[in-house]
Amino acid sequence: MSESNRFMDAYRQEAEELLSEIEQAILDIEDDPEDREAVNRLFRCMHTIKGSGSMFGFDAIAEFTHHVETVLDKVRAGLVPVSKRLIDLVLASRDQIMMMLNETEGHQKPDTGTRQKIIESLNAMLFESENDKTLSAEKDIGRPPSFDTTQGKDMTYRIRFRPNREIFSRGMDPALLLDELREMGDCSIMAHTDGIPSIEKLDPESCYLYWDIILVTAKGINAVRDIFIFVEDDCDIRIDIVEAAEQNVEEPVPRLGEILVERGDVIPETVTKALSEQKKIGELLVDSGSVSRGKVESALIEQQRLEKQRLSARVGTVRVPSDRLDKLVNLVGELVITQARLSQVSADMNHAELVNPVEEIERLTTELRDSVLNIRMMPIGTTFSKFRRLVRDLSAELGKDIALITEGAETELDKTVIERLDDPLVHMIRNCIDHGIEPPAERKKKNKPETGTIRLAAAHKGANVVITIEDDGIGLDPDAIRLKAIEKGLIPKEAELTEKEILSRIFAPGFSTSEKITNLSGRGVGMDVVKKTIESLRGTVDVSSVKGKGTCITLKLPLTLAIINGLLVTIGDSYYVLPLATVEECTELTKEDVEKAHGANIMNVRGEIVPYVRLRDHFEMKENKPDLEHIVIADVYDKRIGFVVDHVVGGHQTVIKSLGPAFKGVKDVSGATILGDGTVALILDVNALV
Amino acid sequence: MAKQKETIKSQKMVELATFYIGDALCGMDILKVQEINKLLDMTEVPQAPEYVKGILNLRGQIVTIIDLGRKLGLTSTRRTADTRNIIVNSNNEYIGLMVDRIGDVVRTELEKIESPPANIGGVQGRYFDGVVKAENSLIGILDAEEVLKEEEM
Repeated sequence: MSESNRFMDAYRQEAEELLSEIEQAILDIEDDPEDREAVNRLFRCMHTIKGSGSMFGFDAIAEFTHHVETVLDKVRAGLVPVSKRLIDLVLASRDQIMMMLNETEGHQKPDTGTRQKIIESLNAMLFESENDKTLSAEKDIGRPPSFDTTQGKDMTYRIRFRPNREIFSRGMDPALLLDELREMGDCSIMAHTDGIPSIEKLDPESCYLYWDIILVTAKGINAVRDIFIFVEDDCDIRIDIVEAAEQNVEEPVPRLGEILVERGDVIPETVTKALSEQKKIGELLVDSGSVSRGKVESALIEQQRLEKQRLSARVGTVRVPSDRLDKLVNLVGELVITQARLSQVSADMNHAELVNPVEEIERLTTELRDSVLNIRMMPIGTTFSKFRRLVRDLSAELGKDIALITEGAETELDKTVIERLDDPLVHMIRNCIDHGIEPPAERKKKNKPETGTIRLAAAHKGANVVITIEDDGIGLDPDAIRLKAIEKGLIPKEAELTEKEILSRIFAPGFSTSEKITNLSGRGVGMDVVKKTIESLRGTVDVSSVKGKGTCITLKLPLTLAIINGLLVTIGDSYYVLPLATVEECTELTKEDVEKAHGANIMNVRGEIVPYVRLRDHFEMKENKPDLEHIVIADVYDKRIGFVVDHVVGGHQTVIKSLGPAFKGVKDVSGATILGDGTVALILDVNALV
Repeated sequence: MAKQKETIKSQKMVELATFYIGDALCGMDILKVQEINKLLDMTEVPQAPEYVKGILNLRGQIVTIIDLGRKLGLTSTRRTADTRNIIVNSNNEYIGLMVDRIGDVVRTELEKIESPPANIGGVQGRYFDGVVKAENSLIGILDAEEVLKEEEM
């Protein structure tokens, strides 16, 4: 990939993140129009998209975003009121920018018509606000023109701008920023050259300079900050208000030492020290008894503590490609395996000096594994915020009044799981909106609050994360589902099923009870896809519903995909792993048990008839069958099913390795794992075996 | 200028790792070969295609072993003391090609490679990049990507 392409990709990625933040911010504003912080966030995001857009050659985006930004600037200044129209426009603009990003990837044709319309509406809004202002100017005298108190009067700012060494390689030119500052007002700039190394060590592509800028401007501190908006993350920027130009005239001009201290060029300690060395003021002070040595020292300690605090407050983030993370997770997996083997060997040898370090390694490995798996964890809230938009748009489209309540947004899940969850969640929430929640009039008739509620909640439960999607709509009608299922031939006519079994038919392919097909749902594809996706993530889906009251769908997902708790068994010479989560019990399958069943593959477990699958027969293994076989009883689709194996070895921390594409057609095996002694065991997919 | 180009071209040598599938002598650019081993203790995977012998653990990596003879429509590779796995990396995945016997490494010039005939020793020509004449035999240069292509569908 060429250099410029890499930058463009980085921009695209950044922009996508910013766009989702924009969405979140604007929805926050919709909830609370007074949320100044959200307005500022929104503006900053737009500004960044525009600025870096033009820097990396996304001129169309930069130009379009400029219009949005202009309006938002007025919003920020309180000149344009927050209205539904504004929110709709910003959301539409966000979508446009998203499309534009994709266009540059060559996916879509530009939609200049919509773009133009948005720009016109934005301009119209600006125009109205101008008119508004002149009309209401007399009425509104008491209202402050803006909420930025530094705006409007001349202020002196002291700016210390110390760019990151690599600033040039990020496509920034500090000189341009300085030029921008110069345009803002009376400005004096001094460059510091003390960072420049000797010529043989000098890297011509690094920036060694830093600047002190004294700027007098009436534009307000926000405007000054905005200049540095693209570089503030990785450059050291300090903006201080020195004084308001018109006040503080009587106060004495600060002394040199004080200015230096305030600028952060020297810490007071150094000044004191320097002074004490040169003029021995510190010593004199102590000698004269005006300050005790202890007091000076304690002041110094406080100083040091403050310094430390400031340093520790800086928690940076690093972007890492996920394949590197995957490799790390894999390696840790190997380490876990090897460590288990080591522990085994150490236990066998029973060597006193070996036991300690091996236990230490065990502890460290566990800790390492947990923290590595933690790196991949992301709060699920990032997905949740997307759904606010979905609910807002769809309910407006359908004329329904729906509130989305989210809980447990901070619940962490493996990144891959979160990504794969997206589509199923969208689908289920659409279902709630489209089929679940009734129109307001109907709700009123039923004595329900007019506003329908969808609750989206996530929570940890043991080694699982449980996600529930609940609505207070019409609920599922078991009778209707039953009829439909019979009609579609999904269940035999005379079948007697529990309500739960009937409800679970909605996950069957091609099933939909809704009469009308809307563009949202009702095409009969969906819930089966949801179920498939969740199962591919080794999760389960459960539905419960009370007719007329609402529906609740529960997803249960494992915390991570990389390691599972497995039950190690053998069949013939081969090792197999069954996911422990599904295993209920293990018992022996004696010859008498087999004889009693008269050839049928069923077994009586404490009075309950359990059908079983002979894995030996299933895998067509003939040789050396043991006299006593074991049966592992697992819970598959809410039914108890036994799997007959030769021996049950025991629990096993299974690091999952996927099988290659040559095994696409293999349904029963979901992966492989490497055992402590290096042999490969196959992980069985119990759902597929039945 | 033209002359210079020619000398560069003629300098382009390729080293072929050769091996036998049945009686057919095949070769592969040695740079594509990760390693050659004789680990034959592999785990069979039920329901896998017939030409897939199983999987084995190569220093923590799961490697799919393919019976090259079977895959190319010849007789199955019989396990003998000479049987080897040629490990190649295809699309970030390790695949082991099980062959009957390993031959020498043959150095040849790129321009001596000719386009393959329709059939080499019973193997379809499409599996080969080309052929090259060795001292007393013909080496078919195997196109590993083509051989493994069907797996990636």
